[in-house]
Amino acid sequence: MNIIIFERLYREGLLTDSSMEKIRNESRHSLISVHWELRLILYLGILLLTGGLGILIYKNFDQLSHTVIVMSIAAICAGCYFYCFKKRLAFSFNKVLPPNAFFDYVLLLGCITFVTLIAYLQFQYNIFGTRYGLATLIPALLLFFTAYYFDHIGVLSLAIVNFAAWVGISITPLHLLEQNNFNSSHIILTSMALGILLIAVAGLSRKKNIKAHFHFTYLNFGMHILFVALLASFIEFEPVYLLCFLGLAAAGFYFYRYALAEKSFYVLLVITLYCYIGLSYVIVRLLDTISSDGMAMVYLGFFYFIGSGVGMILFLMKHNKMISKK
Amino acid sequence: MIAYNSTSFKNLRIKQAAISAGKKGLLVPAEVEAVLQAYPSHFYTADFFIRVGLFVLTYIIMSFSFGLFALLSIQDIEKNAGIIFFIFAALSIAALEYTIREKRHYQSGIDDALLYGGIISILAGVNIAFEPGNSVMYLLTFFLTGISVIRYADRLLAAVCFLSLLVVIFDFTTASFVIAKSFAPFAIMLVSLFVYFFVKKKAVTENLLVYDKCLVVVEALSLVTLYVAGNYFAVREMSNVMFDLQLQPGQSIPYGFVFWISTIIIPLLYLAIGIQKKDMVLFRTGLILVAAMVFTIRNYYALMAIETVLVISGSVLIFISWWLIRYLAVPKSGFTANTTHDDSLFKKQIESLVIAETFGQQQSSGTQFGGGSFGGGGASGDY
Repeated sequence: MNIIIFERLYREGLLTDSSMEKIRNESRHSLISVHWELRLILYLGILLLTGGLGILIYKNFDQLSHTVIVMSIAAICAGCYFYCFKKRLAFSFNKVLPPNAFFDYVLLLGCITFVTLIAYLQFQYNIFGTRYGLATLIPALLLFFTAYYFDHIGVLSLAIVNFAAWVGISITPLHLLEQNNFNSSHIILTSMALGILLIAVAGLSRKKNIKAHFHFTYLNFGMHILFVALLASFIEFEPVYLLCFLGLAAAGFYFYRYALAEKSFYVLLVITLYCYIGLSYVIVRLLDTISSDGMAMVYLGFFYFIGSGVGMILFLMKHNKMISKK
Repeated sequence: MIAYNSTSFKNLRIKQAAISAGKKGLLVPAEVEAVLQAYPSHFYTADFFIRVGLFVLTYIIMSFSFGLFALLSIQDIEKNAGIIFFIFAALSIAALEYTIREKRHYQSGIDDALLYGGIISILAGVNIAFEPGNSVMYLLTFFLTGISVIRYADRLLAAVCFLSLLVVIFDFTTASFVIAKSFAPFAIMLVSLFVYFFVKKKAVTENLLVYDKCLVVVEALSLVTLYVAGNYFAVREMSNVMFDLQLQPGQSIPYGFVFWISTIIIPLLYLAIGIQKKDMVLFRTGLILVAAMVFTIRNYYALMAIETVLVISGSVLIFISWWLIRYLAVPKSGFTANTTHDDSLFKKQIESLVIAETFGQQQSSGTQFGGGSFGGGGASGDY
């Protein structure tokens, strides 16, 4: 805090004596928050510790039996969950604050060890056989439950990633997976469906007021998955890329309305960039198809990018003003 | 001097100070309102995300404009490359001055992109047209960025300016025959220290309110360079390459113990003084440099296997943070483990993304969603 500024304001009579006294007091005995520094150190410590333990297990693999490893991972996981069940505050569909500073991290450790445990069991004992879907679905379901029950946005992100992995695996027929031959049109369509599903869940969680603060996490994942899938579809379904562009435009319009309603600069920026990439692809394709003279089209392309860049800037600036004013 | 309207600039800082004091409950809303009325600032400033977008778009426009320039003079591009850069730089700076003066932009993303584009073009133009050699380029970079910082008060350029000053000094001490080469680290340490105290002293005067953010950047950076110049690893490896010492592993540089002392002492000193004076710049720099210290020691003295180091240091960090969070739950001697403002939700969102990034990977290996290669492919696909 710059005391000089306030001294000046005080001299000009803009501040009352009592406020100035408060500010002088604050600047003399200012309270410095090291909240985020400490959290960062804690996070770093967990990262180093888990990394170190991982290497330790890996190096002493031959001396440890699998049972010991499985048991110790399971013990850590169970310990973390036990702690969280004991310390948790009463469940609610609204936001529940963690009971102390470590709760979130203990819970996270429990989740990560659980996921590791399942992966280890599958890798070593093949407990799910070739039903790979099950091996990803079970962690995903448990993570969702954990995220909702203990109210943890980080675990929710993990759960969504795991869920996406399950979707990805279960739509890919096994023989294709083994031949390393991915049927990408399937994957693109499924990703689109997944993106829309996540966006719908985002809307529902707010509408039904079930953990309404999870809204943004769902929406963010859904939005990126949907837009990336839409852009990928331009290349995959090349003959009908104009149709894909319509899809992109529709998604863009939906989120445009959302950004205005929610005053979200972030969403506005994301859709602007995604739609700009899509639009530029279409324009360049069109220039390519109507071209008879290569050089002229190159010049036209350059002019398009300069002109459209200016247009996009005006668009963003206008909406910056619009959203700020609201 | 400053290109931006300096009254608006100062008013902006005053506004920000008043709003933040209002959020802490030090000022009553009526007072904040009165300050906002008395100190209007007419800048066009964009929200952070919009700024990113405007920066990217301006960059796209500049790249294609430059491409168009180059295309038009493709016949003798070899001869004209320097001139093209100069013309482009002149246009960028002109556009920059226009957006600042007429459109009142300040850190809108557009002025940032134009400024960086202009500076890079000037440097590239000089380098291609005159090929003046490295030493002159360092000096030119220093003066050019220095002038730009005075005129545009840009933080990134302030950092570049300071670093290029150090490069100039390093270049001078290592090239000259008068001063011994081994003096170079001390020269850099001295200059860093001098700059640090200079900045620290200047930062509190009202006349330099416009440059306060630049000064903080240089302040933090000078602390880092002060450390790096005295860091054993940096000095040993640099001297090995620069002076062709051909050191074998295990061999030390002459007077190596001097640098070991500074490697270990400086971060601890930063932390101690930072805590004592409640100087967050010193404190945070110290925290980061402690990690650098550990890495340096570990690099030369592998007392323990890497996994043991990880386990021990991880446990120590967890313990320290656990203890401090409990200890500082009730504020003690001006420090608290709680947040002072309510910015927690935003940071929580970021934290959750970090978690998904660092821990989510092994599980997602089964997914094959379109992914990276498609992301930017559309725009440039057919060229």
